[in-house]
Amino acid sequence: MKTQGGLMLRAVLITCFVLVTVAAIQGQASATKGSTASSQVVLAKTAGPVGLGRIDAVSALLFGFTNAEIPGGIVRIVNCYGSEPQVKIPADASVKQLLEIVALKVPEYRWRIDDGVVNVIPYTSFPVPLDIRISEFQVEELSALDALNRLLDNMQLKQELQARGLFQGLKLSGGGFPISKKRITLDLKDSTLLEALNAIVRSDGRAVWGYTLRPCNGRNEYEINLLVH
Amino acid sequence: MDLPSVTLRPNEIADVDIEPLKGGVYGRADFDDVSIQVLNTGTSGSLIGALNGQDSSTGMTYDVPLRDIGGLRNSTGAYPWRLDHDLSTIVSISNIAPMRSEIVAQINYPGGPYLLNPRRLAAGETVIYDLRKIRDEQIPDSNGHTIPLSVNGGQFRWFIHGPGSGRLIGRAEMLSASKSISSSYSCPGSSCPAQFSYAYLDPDPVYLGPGDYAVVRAKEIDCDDFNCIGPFNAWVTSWDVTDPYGAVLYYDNGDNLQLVGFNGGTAYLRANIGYERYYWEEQASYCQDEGMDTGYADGNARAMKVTGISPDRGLVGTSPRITISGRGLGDSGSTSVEGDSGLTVDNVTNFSVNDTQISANMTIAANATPGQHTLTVHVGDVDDTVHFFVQIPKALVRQTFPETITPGQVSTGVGPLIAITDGDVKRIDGGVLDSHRCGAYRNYLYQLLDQDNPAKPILAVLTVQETFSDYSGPSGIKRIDGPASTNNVGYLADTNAITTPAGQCLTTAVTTTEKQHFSVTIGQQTLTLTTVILITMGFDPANGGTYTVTSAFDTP
Repeated sequence: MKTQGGLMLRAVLITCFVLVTVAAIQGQASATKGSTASSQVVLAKTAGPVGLGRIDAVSALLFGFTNAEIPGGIVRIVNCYGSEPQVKIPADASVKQLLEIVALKVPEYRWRIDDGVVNVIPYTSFPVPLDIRISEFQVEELSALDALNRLLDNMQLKQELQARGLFQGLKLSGGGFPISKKRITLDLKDSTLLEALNAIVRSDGRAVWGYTLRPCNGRNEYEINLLVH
Repeated sequence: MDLPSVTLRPNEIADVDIEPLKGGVYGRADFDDVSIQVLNTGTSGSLIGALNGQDSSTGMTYDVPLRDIGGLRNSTGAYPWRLDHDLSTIVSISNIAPMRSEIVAQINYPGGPYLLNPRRLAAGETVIYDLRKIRDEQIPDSNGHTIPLSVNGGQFRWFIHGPGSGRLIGRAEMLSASKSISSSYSCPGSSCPAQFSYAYLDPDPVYLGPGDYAVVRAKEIDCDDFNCIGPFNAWVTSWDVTDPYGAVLYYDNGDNLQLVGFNGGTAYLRANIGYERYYWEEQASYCQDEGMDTGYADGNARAMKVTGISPDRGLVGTSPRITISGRGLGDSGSTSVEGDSGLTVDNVTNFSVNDTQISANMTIAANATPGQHTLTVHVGDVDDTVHFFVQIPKALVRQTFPETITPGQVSTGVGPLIAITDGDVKRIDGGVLDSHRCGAYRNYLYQLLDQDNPAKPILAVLTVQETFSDYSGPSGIKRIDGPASTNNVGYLADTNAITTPAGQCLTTAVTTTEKQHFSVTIGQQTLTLTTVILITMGFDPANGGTYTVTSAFDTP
């Protein structure tokens, strides 16, 4: 089952697009995986209101997912020298409308629903290493944030990221009380990074993972975190 | 007026001409209705008689059998009544005892009855019931009912009532001028007068708001061997009022009790009722009066007064469980709470044994007008009000760290600067936000306040959206907007961190500034808080390296 989608992010450094090697979404403009009925339920949820006026596209997605109380994952390629694309979302917009509006504004983006998790990933030539394989990932009764920290401590993942020319750098961060109190337990074998990230947020029910790439100053700095947790 | 005595021999018949009395009563309205009493010095049952008369204006003659006072059964009556054509029916009942006596009368007809409250007659007094007048003038009975104009007949029942009543005697006269017919009825109603069966207070319970006024009466049902009659006003000998809370002010008005709601609570009421107890002596075919007995009717007055509500405020778009305090708040069957625009209240339950508290579910609509609202508590027919404040988020204030937080605050709501070289960035509650980092961070604690003056905390778990603007600093690291949650007392934690991966600590100067804004989405509306915070973070490599993490209220 495929549904129409497509979306965002205009990075001035992006000069051409090649097919990314994310196996799960390769060759798909948008798709749903898992129960069609549950995907329709996700898409029909109310995402608005999202801000008071125009808002950058990634923030709109985060606020919309938070309002709809759905899990998600967003790949963000930072526009190093320009402003982020802005969107205006109707107060009564559904998740589907939210995704379509962002897709219109930022056509690079593709969205799909993976068993309840809404993934919004750009069609980009920049490294988006969601296909890195992780032989084993286990957590028991952890918060989504602690589970992610456990995943990011995985030596195999660190080495793969470094091998792809991805580095961590300076960041400003923060956070408050989590909006979800859920504890999750996972036991994944031979999964991809995308599958592991989706498994974390799916188990939490409300978390949204983020992969942020800053292709600034000739160096690809990345950040993987929970934008909503 | 007395006439001379007449002595009769056995079996002798004599006419007693009362014509000589005319001179004394002619033209005097107070003699329009009179009774004739014949006193017999002989043995009981030794004398019978009849009264014959003629209406001088119509020429009609009347033949009225004289009745002996007889037994108690003669203090009852059941007569036919008709009003068809020009028929009239007039019932007269006289108190032939030397003390006051009380009568209960009920007019039966299809669709009836028409019941009158007891009437006390002084010694010798006669009461007249003109059925046509009662019907045609639509005179209401004790319950406000009237006899329909279409009703032309039925039965008139009466009986003596009340402790200490003497004796009554009555008859009905039915007349038709057009047909020159008159007939007289004086049949006893039953073997014994109807007597007390049970009683209750009306109204019961009586609900009073502060200052409300009510009158409580005891209502009695009496029965004879065939029927029950009532309810009508009982013969109340006294009232007992037990009022531990000073719920009411009361005045014992004899057959009724006047109440004024005062302090709230329940007052327990008892009407002590006197009545005569009769029984039918079968062998002697005689109704025996066993004297006065007493009964009672219990009830209570619930004076309602609302004294408070908890919580007294709630966030728009939420559904708090409220508790209303006071006295006389009734039970779930009789108590309801009504909110004004934007507030709905249901599932009212009473969980206090003495009616001092009720709880209910309140729903504050997402579009409810912020500010003061009124809840009306209804208990029965009375009500009282209490105010409830509808909150919207307005601003944040810094809140003192709980003592359990380590490390503690360095000033109100501001944690110490924590520098790490290969460590965790931890939230105020110890949760790890990031690990294996080098840099510095600081924790903050805020509390969400409402729009009141002075502002009060919003005690609700809410998702607060944080947005960042006016960023200056190295390109590409501007923070992305995101949500955070308040806890159940409205606390909002925040952490500001400037870090690099462990092993890659900063060596060059960095300075960043940004403004932090907050908003809350409730229903279909987004409410932006007034609070704007200016955040400065940076690193100065001089003197071995110094991190800066500060925040200040740009707008409170």
